[in-house]
Amino acid sequence: MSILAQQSAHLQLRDVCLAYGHQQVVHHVDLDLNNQEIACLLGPSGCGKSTLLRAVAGFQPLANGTISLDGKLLSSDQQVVPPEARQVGMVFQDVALFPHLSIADNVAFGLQNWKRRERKARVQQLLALVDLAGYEQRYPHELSGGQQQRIALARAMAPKPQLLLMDEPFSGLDAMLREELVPEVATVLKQEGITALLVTHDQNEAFAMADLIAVMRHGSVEQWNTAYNIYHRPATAFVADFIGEGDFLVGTVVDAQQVETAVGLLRGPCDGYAVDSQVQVFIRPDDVLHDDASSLQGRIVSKRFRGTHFLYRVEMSGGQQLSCFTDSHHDHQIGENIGIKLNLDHLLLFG
Amino acid sequence: MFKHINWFNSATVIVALFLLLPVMVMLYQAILGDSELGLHMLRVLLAEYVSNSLLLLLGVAVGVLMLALPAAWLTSMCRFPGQTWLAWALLLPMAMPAYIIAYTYTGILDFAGPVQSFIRDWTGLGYGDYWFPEVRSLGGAVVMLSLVLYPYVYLMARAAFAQQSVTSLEVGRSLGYSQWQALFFLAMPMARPAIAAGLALVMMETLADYGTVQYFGVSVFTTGIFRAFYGYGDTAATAQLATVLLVFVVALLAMERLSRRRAKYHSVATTDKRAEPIELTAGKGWLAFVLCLIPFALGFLIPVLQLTYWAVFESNEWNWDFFSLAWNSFYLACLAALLVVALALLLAYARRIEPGQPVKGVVAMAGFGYAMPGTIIAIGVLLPLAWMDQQIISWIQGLGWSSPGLLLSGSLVALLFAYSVRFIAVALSSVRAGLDSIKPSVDYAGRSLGHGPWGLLRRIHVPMMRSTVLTALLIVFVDVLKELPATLILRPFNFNTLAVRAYELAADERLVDAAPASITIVMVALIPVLVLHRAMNKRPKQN
Repeated sequence: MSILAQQSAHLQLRDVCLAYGHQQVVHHVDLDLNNQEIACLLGPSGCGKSTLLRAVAGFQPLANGTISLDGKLLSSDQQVVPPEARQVGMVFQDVALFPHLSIADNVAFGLQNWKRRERKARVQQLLALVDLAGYEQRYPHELSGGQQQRIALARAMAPKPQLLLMDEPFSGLDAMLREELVPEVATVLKQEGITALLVTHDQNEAFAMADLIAVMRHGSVEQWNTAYNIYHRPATAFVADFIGEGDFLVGTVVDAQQVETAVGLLRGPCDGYAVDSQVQVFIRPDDVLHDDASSLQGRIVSKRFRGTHFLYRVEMSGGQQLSCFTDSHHDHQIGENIGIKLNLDHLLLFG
Repeated sequence: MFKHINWFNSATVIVALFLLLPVMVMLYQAILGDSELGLHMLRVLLAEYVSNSLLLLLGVAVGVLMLALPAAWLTSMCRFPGQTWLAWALLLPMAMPAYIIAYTYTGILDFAGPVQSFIRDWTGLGYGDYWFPEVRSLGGAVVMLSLVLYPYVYLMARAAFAQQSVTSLEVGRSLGYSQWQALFFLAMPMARPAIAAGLALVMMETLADYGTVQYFGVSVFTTGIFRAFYGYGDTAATAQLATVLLVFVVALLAMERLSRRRAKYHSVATTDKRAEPIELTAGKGWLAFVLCLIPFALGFLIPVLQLTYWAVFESNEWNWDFFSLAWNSFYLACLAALLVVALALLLAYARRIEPGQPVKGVVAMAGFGYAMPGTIIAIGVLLPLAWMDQQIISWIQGLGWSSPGLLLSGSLVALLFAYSVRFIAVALSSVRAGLDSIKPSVDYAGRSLGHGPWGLLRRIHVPMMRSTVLTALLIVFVDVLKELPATLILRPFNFNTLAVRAYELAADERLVDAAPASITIVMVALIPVLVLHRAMNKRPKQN
């Protein structure tokens, strides 16, 4: 049984613009998040994702647009419901546990209006949930980084918020710990049916946690979709380049089904591009296969051994470079020519 | 928090401007005032003040380095008999005001004092038959100031040594440096910015000293300013002298800030690993013990024993008057501490809530007061308050009533004003350290958990700030208790404190009778030193 009662949280951002002074840093963002979904704002540092999260939390006034939760207006350019009245929980990058309070008091901090016995039970329940039962009387400085972050999560979830916000919650932890904690937290959130919005610059974290991802750049959302679609159907050249690895090939549209490039004629629908127009074709390394029989030859300029496979950087005759994954046993020398073959499911074209 | 409260900002700016007023008044007088002393006179005086002040600074710098550096290095990097208690005993001279140690050593080393009496009894020589160094001289002042000021450098150097990563010393060893070479070519240079910052503080204190140099009859800036103001009654000359002194102070302040910044870059430790202490045994160990004992013994132990002896066995000043003095000192220091810390809280919160440049600049400017000698601040407070008093008096007399007297310049208002200017920086740095430990995200966390601004203040800020605010109160309390020149100038008629009384008795050559007041000041001043020591040894609890 879920700890949280079924709530119909439904976060809605409409045409949200944010500004510091006269400088607008977030432009016209629209997002919809359904109940019990976990979403992620993903983007390079300085793209406005944390500012947007702070606006949802109520720490940042809106220059334009509205934010509403469960049909209730939280923020507009006219009014802001203060953070303490929003029922929105938040987990911070630097944990921000209260150093002068015990773990139990930290978790109970948002339960000030609960009855004593219920409060105690709720604290027990959450500590058990984050696997830290028995730590009630400890103090934050006695806990490891990962434990502190789990307590911060428990503290934010304790008052049963309608929405949980997480601002780079794992970036302060080392890689090993992050690897361990991310799926744990994802499980806890799913188990509790919590609606959550997470900010990160790490795509692996986003893939591991989120149902939906908003890729942001320069204060705008470039794409709002599932992880699968963001990887395989990137909406913009930036998204394609930012997520995963790959190369852009210059090409010319031949007809509605073909593009001429340095590596030959590529087939696939070219809807929306006029014949003879210049396009960029995005090629992922896993679309480039090593095939000794292929007539298409490239010279190896660098290689990286990754255990399960090799990543070769190959230069084609026209100077165009591509990346190519090969089987772990295909050990070629730098400077050697190898044959490659393109295996594209569909064409990723950008103007 | 309190984002939309505008009166808060206005109050901040007004407070900060008030704190800057004394310096402004002095600069104004220096530029536009009319000096009656004349340029020639001023030049003659100035030459003497400048050369004496420079000699004093140089001497104290050398003395402080000689006392502080060996002690700092030995207690932080070596292990020898008595090292643990010496490490904190070396801090104790901080509790000793320079003017008190000056009277005490004068009493000990004078012709009639125990040392010279002993020499005469022992050798059978009489007056004038032998040479004995004169305490009441420039050299004497150098020694006295060095003995009580070296802990600043000791503290900074020790912290720097302790932060040095063992790795960089090990790199030196692996490149063929011996342990001692590593000390001179690596450890000392790496600690240099920290030492320079401590030295700048020492020199500011030296320039600000009035009690010692006045008692020893050394003509430096502070005594000159006093003489120009009270002796010649020449406000413009006073202000001009003060301005020259301020130039020195600002230079030192710049040196201190710069060194502190560099010290930050130089603390290169990346691991918690500390260097294994060097074991000093037998002869070396005892040498280290003696080297560390000397500053403590001369700067604290001997004068305290002498003062205690005088106070207990010889003085007959333990009377009703003494308790009324103690009470005056106590409630004045309490009032000042409460006021100064309240102002510091106002400025610190203003800076947190409105982190824009104007507020930041105003708050930083207000912090310069601690570098200003008490003499300058006192006169800078006196001039505008006396002017305001004149306005009030003529206004009230214009209404046909009798003069109300000096409401501002003749009351505790003037003293409290001067203390605020002088000690706001001390309180501010303590309060800000507390406030900075509450990261903004802690505020955000509290609010997202359903607590409003006042709830945050009550449940997070008050408990988290309690200890730093108490420390600030304590430090200001003790600083006010020890403060001499400003109190001397600004105290209301017939209002005496322990410090002023000790000064007066000593000036009347009643050194023994000055002892009860002096030892009381020293004992109270010990409290913050011990608190400081405890805070230093406590492992940082909050990350």
